[in-house]
Amino acid sequence: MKSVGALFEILGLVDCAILKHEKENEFTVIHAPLGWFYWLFPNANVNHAINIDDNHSFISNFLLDANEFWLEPDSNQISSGIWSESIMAPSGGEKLLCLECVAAYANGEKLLVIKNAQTAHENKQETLQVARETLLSHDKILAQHDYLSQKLQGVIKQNSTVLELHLPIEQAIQNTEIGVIITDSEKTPLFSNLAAFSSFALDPVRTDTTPLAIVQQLIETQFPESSPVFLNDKSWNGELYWHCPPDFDKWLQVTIKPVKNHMGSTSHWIIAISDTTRLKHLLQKNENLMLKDALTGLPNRQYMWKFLEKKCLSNSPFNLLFIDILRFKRINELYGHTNGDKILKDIATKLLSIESNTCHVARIGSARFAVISLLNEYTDTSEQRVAARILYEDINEMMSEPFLTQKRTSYTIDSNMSVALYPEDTTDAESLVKAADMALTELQDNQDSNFQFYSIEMSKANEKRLQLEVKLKNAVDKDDFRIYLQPIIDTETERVVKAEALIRWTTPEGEMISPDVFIPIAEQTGLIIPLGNWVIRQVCDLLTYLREKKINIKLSINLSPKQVSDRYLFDFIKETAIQSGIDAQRLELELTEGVLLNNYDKAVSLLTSLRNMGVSISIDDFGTGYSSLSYLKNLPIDYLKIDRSFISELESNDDDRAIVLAILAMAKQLNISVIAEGVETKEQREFLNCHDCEEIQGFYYSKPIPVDEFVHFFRQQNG
Amino acid sequence: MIQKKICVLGATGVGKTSLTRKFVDGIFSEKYLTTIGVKIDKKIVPTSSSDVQLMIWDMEGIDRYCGFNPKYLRGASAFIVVTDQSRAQSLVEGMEILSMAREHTDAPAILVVNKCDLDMKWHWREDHVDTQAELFQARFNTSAKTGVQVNNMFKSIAALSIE
Repeated sequence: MKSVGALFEILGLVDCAILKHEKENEFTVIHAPLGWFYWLFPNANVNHAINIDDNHSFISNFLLDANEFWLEPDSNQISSGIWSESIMAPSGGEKLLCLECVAAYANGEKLLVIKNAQTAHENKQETLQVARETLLSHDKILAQHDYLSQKLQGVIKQNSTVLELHLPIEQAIQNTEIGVIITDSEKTPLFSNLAAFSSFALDPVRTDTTPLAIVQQLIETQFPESSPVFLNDKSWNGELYWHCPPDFDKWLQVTIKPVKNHMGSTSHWIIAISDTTRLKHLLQKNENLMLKDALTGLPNRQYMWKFLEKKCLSNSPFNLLFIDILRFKRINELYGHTNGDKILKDIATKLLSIESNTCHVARIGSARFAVISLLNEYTDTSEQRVAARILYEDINEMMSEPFLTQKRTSYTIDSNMSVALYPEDTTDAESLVKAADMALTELQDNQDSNFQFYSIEMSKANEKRLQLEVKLKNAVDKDDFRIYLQPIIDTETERVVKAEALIRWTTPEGEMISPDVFIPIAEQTGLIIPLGNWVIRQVCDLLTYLREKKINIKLSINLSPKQVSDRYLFDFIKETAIQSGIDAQRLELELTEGVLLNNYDKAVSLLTSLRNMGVSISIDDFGTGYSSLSYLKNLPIDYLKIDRSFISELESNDDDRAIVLAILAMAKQLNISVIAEGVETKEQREFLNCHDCEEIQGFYYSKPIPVDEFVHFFRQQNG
Repeated sequence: MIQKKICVLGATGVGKTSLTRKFVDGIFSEKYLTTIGVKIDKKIVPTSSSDVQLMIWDMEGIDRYCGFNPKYLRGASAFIVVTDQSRAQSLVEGMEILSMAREHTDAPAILVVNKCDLDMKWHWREDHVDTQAELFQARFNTSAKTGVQVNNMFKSIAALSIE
């Protein structure tokens, strides 16, 4: 390597080791400083090869990114970030090394540079130490402030008059650093501690004003929209700036809380005041550190909050638009994190093209961006909606254009977008963000559109959903579920050959809640794991019960995406089957195509293990998803269940008939059996029978029924 | 010997480094020193089946200055989310961290409620914390200062890492 010196200059490095990549984890040492490098690699020699294995776990981890970078370098270098580890020095004793790895590409050589990052580490630590201590103190003060005002509210509520406050409590309040004022319902101060006076540099004996009067005046001038703070019997919380030239200028966190009596009317008010001046200044000093997203350089989530809070104090309308990049994890899986990062940067660059004085872009989550679009103060709601839609269409067009990976592979991303309108939908930053978030959630199951305005109905539905979540949790704890069975019939013999186990939930109040409603909630809250395990246990017990009744058929169970991701699922099925003493061949598991594709690697390993155990696998709702031929060929699949949507109009719809025939022909070639779901008429049955569809399921024979009814049905049908 | 990577995650100042240091070196210091990037420590832990060498990746606290870096989670056999019972917000942040981590790994995780020697300042009801803890494979109330449950917690993560 001729130009090590020149390379040093390019990289701006002095205390570093340079290794040349040879193959896999093998590198030749080109240059190494004495000391730390040889502590790290005791057997290394210049011009000789070394192996980087899992003992160097940080470097090994970085090599995953480095290997991607070397394949298609799009910049001079990539860095690992700083890490530190203790190494045994030859002189004895441990030394703490602070290091950083850089992958570089120069003159066709793949280089790994390991830098001594001691100084960079110290500098960064020095800056962030102050910033974080400040942040923690700030959080602590605010927490104390909230805690005190909340506690006082409770104490005063329990005492009919403040004069009855116990002496120790009064002393504690008198000595706290947080200013406390307690008034009666007419806002006449009954008690003010010393800190309340000192917050405004007042002498309690000589002053001709009161801390409360100053607080009221500051709120009136700085928060004109909240001026009737004491009128609406509601709490108020905010940061006030008190300026009293030439000596004082302070930032004060102020909370005002009403104390309600047993009749529900306000008997007292508590005002808590904390001085946050020092912390405010330190935080402002670190503002730059705080408000940028390191990867894209866009303003970050904290910036968005600040900006929204500021804009929510104005009278001008604006739109808050959220952009969610869908299945971003998949990009990282397919192309690696370096490409994932590249695509995020490209998205940021595209979004910056709409940045202007009235349009502000931020990255607010790993794959989520926000755009705040300010409008003229005279814009009415309908114009505001039109503006939001135009903005969406512009961004949607940008997002629809393909992105390129480092290898110039074209990649199209999918995105969902939602909008909340200020002040039409809501008037504070927090609920505005919630509103945009709710509208995004609404889009999750929407195949027809990727754009949604927030509406009040969403809040109502959300509230209802939260209540249902609580009920569901209780129901899981109390086993309030039942298993129903829907017979699956051999098309030719019309005998019951199998049944699908379906969960049913009746609340203690007698309300039947549809699985379409509670399964998605269970899926999102993680309750699907205990619920799914309950179903597996019940079905295993049911198989034992049916065997005793001389009914030897298979029962199938639906698996949800979260269950497939659950690393303990296979062990659970296996153990439960063994404990129940059932033959695993009597169990069948149903997965949708989406589950397979989103968790392909996990699904392959799970299905293979299940198949080895004797469990059969069917693909549910076939035809509605990707219907990929490759997975049908590669995965151990026994049955395809044709989705009911193709069956319902079989008699009248030529397209549906063609699709069903195509599925039947394809399955036959692949040696996979087919079950048609949702069969409701004799004509549908006849058609399916004529075209060799082996099994059918649907209301034509039976809806899902309780187990005892199923036993009865089985006996009737099978003779 | 089996070697397993364990990541220690959590908001700033919850005591990730203190817990690791207490476990690895048996030392506790009252002075808060912010971690930069990742600090890697090793320690051999005996489990019922075999000895395991833990590679403990003590990560920089996640806050407004440092985002969550999923790359550091690659290859982790288990991870720990640390919260501080004297700071209510740390549980909220801990749960956000868990949810971000779950987008990248299904490795087992432990919830640690640290600083249990201090007064509990968070307003969460115990059943709320229990509900959050259900999303983890185990929960420990620890104190890096007194050493309470620190060894047990790391032993438990070692056992989970080889399951």
